[in-house]
Amino acid sequence: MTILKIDHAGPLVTIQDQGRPNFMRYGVTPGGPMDRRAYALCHYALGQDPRASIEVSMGGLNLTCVSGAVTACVTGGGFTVILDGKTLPSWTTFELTEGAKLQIRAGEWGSWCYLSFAGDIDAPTWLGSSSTHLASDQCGVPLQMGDKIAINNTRTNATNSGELLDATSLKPSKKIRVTMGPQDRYFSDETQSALLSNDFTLTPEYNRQGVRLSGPALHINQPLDMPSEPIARGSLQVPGHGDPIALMADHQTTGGYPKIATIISADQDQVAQMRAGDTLCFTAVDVETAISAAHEANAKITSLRQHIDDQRMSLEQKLLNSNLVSGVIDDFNN
Amino acid sequence: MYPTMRPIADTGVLVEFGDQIDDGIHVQVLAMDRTVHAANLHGVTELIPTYAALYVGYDALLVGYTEITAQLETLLGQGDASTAQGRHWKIPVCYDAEFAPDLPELASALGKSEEFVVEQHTSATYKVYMYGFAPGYAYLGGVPPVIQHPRKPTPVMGVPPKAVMITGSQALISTATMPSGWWVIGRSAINPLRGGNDDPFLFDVGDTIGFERMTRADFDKYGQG
Repeated sequence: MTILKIDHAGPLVTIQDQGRPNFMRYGVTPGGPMDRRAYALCHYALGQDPRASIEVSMGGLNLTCVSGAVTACVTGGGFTVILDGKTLPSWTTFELTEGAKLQIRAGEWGSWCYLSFAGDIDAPTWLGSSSTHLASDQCGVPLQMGDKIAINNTRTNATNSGELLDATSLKPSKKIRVTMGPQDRYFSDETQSALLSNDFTLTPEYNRQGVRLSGPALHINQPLDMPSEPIARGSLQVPGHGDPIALMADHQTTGGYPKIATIISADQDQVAQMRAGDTLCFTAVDVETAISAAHEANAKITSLRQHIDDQRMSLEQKLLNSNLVSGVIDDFNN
Repeated sequence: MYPTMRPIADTGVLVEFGDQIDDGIHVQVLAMDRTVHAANLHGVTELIPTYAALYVGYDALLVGYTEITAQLETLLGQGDASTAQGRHWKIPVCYDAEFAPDLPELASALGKSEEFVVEQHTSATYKVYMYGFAPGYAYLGGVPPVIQHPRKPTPVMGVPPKAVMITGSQALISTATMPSGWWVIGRSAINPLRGGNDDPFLFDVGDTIGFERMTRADFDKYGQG
């Protein structure tokens, strides 16, 4: 077992695994990582199935490894990762050994990164998930200074240490695709084209539930008489103030405000990695294009996995070469 | 015009049966919910029934939109509304003044006695229309018209769990400490969000509920902490 002590945690630093889908019919937000791709790759790099990670916000995280040792990995955005005073790449695996101090800071870009461990974070579970349920006291609370985190079934594999990939190419694109509706009937043609022909800026009203965007106000053109309707991740919900709210991982399951459009799944991680002040512009696509984009996004994950494998291979090769020089050959595959 | 199916990005189909709160519409939502659940369609990940629509979540890597909507199309109309009947629950409620902070003001606003409000509240049969707001918050329809009253202008912070509340035609039993603008008129002996990890939700959408008055002495004896 490895014990970590939290020396500093910004707001909204939480435990997240794949969340708890399938309980939305009971009012339970699905939760899970804000950037699902980065989260999945983090565990891939550690050679394990997805499981609980620490999701770090721009508020950052400092921790000390107080006992034991474990291989760890950071992915997501372009955060600054500092281990014992030495700056590591943003997407990287490394060893945490007893006494090691890790700092994660908001870096050049991105709103969320994932700190995962080769092993299992000891965290409460509810409805089959350890994701912190911020809207209730049902499953944990955000991490705070002084908290201790135990990692069970830990593994270490120093040969895996190093940069996974240069994430610069993963920076979010400004162009975000949506399908219109499902409650576009509440908006005039002019209002719908205003959504698609103007830039919108992310406001600081941003948390795991969603982000308020500012741009031309999108007012409804008829009395708001709709009953509460289901809400999906990516919905652009428009309350009375006329600013669309892009709903994210911790969105409510139902609501009575109309949704003018919905961000397609392939672009949801992109929006999650934008910051307050960033601008985006929406393009409408049909459902078939949205589904093709989901397949492309999945293929992209496959190619990023391959890239991680290649990177590791070259790393192992380097170590192998140096060991050959010194005449020692280790088994690098555990 | 209804039912209609609309795509929600590449992740869901919204099957709409109407655009208002109406029992005849909700019965169709429930029948479709049961039918789709029983059909166990490949790629379907989630069903969310609400007042007038059913959300069918799917995994676009497993099934296409044309395919899923074609399957849903064949299921539409196959649902038997009578099979949508759920279970009936009798929920003991203590209307003691300590648990009913809004009863005096509500009774006064309605021009009725507190006793009248309680009698009316316990006389009706309520139906679980949908969940929302927070885990286990089941929206119940069926408040008798004579005690219907609009919500408070401003939500009150810190309404405790098991608060029995009404607003308009809707009733609710809270499951956690949350703000609410509804009228708190009693305390349930049972939290509809139970402990445990697997199936903690007492009600399913479509279930019916009756409230039964419980004395304070019995509440203290039998009510859950």
